[in-house]
Amino acid sequence: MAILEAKDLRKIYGSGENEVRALDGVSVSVDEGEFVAVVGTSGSGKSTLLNMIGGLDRPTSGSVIIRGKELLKIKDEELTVFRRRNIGFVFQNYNLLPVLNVYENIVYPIEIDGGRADTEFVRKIIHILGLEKKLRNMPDTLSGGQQQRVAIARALATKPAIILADEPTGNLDSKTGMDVILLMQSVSRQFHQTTVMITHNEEIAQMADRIIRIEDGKVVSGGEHFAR
Amino acid sequence: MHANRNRKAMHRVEKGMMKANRTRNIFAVFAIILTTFMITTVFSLGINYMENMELMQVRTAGTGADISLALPTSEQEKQIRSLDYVKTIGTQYMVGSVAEENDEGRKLAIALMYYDTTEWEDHFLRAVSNVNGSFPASENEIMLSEDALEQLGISDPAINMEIPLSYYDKNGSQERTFALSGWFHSYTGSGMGFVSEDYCRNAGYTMQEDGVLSLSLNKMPDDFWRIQEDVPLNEGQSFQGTVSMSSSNGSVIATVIFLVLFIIGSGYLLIYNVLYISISKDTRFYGLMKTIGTTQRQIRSLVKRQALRFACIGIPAGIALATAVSFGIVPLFLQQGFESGKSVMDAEVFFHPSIYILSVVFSAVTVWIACNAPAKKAAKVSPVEALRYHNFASLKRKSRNSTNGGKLYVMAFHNVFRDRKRAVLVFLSLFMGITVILGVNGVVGSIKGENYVRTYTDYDFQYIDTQFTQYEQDTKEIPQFDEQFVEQISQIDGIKEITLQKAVWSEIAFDEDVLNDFMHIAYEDSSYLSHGESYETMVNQLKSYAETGNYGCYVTTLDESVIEKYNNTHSQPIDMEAFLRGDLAIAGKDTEHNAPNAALVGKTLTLTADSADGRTADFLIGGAFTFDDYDPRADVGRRMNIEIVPQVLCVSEAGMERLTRTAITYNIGIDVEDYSQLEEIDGKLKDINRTLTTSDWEYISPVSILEEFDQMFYSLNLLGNGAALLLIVLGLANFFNVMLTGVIARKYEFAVMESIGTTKKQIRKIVTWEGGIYALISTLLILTFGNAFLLLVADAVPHIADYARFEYPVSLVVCLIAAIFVICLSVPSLVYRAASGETVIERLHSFEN
Repeated sequence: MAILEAKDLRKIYGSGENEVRALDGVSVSVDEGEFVAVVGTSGSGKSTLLNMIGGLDRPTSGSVIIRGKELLKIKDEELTVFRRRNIGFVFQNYNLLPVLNVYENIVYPIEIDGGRADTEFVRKIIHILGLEKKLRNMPDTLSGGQQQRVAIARALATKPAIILADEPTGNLDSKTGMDVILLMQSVSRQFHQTTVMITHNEEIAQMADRIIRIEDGKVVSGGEHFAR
Repeated sequence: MHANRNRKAMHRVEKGMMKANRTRNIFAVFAIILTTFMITTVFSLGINYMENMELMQVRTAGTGADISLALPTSEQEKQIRSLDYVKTIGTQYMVGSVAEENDEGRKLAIALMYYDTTEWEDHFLRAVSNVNGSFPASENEIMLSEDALEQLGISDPAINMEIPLSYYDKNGSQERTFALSGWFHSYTGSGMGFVSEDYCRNAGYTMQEDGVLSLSLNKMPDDFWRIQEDVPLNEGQSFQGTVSMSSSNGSVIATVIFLVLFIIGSGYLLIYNVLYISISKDTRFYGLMKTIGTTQRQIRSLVKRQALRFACIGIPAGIALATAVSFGIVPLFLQQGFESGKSVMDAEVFFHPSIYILSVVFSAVTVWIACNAPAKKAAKVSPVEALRYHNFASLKRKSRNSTNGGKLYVMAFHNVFRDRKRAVLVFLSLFMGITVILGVNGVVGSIKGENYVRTYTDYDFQYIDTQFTQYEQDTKEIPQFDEQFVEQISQIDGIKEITLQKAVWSEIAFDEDVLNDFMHIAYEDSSYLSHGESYETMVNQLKSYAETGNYGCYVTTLDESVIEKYNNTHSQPIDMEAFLRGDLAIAGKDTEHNAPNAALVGKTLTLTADSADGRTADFLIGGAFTFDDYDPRADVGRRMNIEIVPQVLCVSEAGMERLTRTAITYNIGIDVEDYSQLEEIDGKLKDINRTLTTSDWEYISPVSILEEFDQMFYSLNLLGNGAALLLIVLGLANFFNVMLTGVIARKYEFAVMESIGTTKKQIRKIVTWEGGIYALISTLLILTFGNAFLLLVADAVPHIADYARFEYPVSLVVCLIAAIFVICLSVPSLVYRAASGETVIERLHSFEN
């Protein structure tokens, strides 16, 4: 069953001669529990696609439906709330909040939603990601790999419909990067967590269940299974 | 080594940075303008204050000379002229005085003098204004002060106008018609007339018999002590200091230095904040520059060159603004509010190049030290760190044992203190800014006219029966104020207290045994001794007064507060109970050199009141007053000018009852509840005054004193209040700056928070909480350390002027704290709203690229 459906997404910057089509009629669908990699060269539009799916940016036209909810019809403030409840983000540069320690960063999305963390679940994530001994640390004191693991834990903590990871290994050395991807793959399977990951690293992409290739704002291969 | 040919490239980068940071540039230049303006204003204020004070002293003294020596011998004159520390030596002759009376039969008080050219030009002209005509050149010419002209009834003087005068000179009574050679406005309040050198020569005036040497010395008061050692004086001769010996300039200089340091501190923090935040924001940029090979030195100079550009615009603009205010706007106000030249404190705005030199130097130093630390910080950015750098400032701590950091208010708290050094600087700048405002306002407020009135008047309003203040009162006193009059006054709204003092003339039984010590001491300083008359002659004369019933003095009632004050300051207290019972009388008044009244203490005087129901009663003299103990505005005079008698005897109400029940109310003191009502009450009192049919009374109102005071200190108040107002702007601008930059610099962080689901409303709540914490902590600092500082100011205030009285600026503190809360609670949220217009991803990208 598709948990994410993006139909005919277009994102056009500028006009006339300066017009740039970042996304040009992209349609994708992701089933629940799938671990999907979106691959493309720099400037191909893969990050733009991720931002549209995550509700961080609005497309010029098209629609994004997550768990049956059409994102473009939601107002900004409501979209933010939808995001924190349904989408987990893992950024290339981790984007942890510097004033919070590791534990507080992980449970932050739950706390700002006014909810209480599912302690058992959070503890499980922390255990899987090997963060037990770093919970009191401030983000600045962690290595890149550790910070990215915290970011993954934060993304998982709210049990989102989908995790969107934008070049999660981009700032890491290849070994650490591979460790992180293995962890993501492992939690994805363990918790039946839908994950869409952007990468330009073929080796890493190969670890996903499916690969969508994008070039010049269009899905060019691996997408026939999803394209309508 | 390759030659370094990258100057052009650095210039291009600098240009680009200036273009890219327009808002920051505006803030930085604004901060420098404000700082320079403040510094210039304070210097201008300080220098003008000193100049005006000096001018006031010179005008009040009537001369710019420092000291004078009357009737110098030729030996002394020669000696003085040879002293190297004597700057100028002027000569004065006391020629005589005008012997005319006015229409009311009062003697005119016009002294006739001669000044030589040095005295006139170097010493006297500084002390006067509106000089018309010239100093008399021929024997029949005279120059008069405006006071003298007024006394003579001349309202429209003209050069060469004929002035017939009867006067005394050293050769006796004279009559002559002078030609008016000129006139001037003097500030001493006494009439002056000048005659020519020819007149003095022909009349036989000499330095030894009639002259005064008037000297200005190099260094006061040191040279004043020196000359007393260097020039031996004859008996009765002394060097008189004409200008106040104690220099009040010391405290002004200290105040100016203190204010300038504080402004430099505030300005430093303001400029530092702008640059620091800008550099924090540009950390990635600096890191990148280093990555591509820019040296630390080049980055330092890049930051400093930007600061230099700000200074090149900000400092001249600040000075221009201060100049416009000092020389444009202030005189404009002064013209409207000041009747030029008629008061001691003229509203002169002095031009001093030193003001500008000092201002430029201090402002430049402020900018230099403010940009130094941020420049170093930029230079030290590590390229690797910088590429990872996204945050406004990283937390210094390694770990924290908490689980509630995600709560909005906890996050806000952590945000405020995430960089402790910065937090301390911010709080310091906010606190200092506000404290300086309070301090300056406190000082300015302390020297207001109301305090002058409070210090120099016994009561807010006063009525004095002038019959009791005469040097000699020929007739028996007639009551001036009846009970109905007092009742009418008490009906006026806003009057707190009415104090009545009563008096009756009483004969003192002339008992030689009782008065012996008193008379002996009094004789030593009497005209009897100076005229060569013996003690016995004096006693005989006093006896003859006693025989005709004229040996006595005024007996007045006295408020017990005076006795309380006396008992607090003297080792031998007056028996208050006995005084209140009416058994005691206090004799007055002694001087430091001559204290005959003290010899009466412990003795009993028999008094008989001169009134319809006058009785005789014995009074034990329980104490003796000096002028310091009791110095009322309505100083009691004498009925007959008998020199050797207590000037006044003070008793309690009960004591007065023992003498008479019909004592005359001679002094009515009125205190008001609120000084803002002074003018209203003044009007009502004046209405009541019209109902009085008597005429030997004087009404003293603080309204005219206040007007005079306001006129005297108009320029100072204007400049002081202006400076205080600017400090408020500076302080609140600082708060605004901190709140604004605090949000703008964390734009990226907020975008991250939004990306993971924090709503804009929640972020607004966080920044509002942060503002609240800033406001709260600043308020706490103001109320603790700020108040401690105000206590120090309160302590220092009496050194500025003896009437200065510090009042805690309650309303200002409340208003400032309210303003701080309004700014801190509203600005962050508004700025965030304005800064978060772009989409989350646009904001994230703007930092990543």
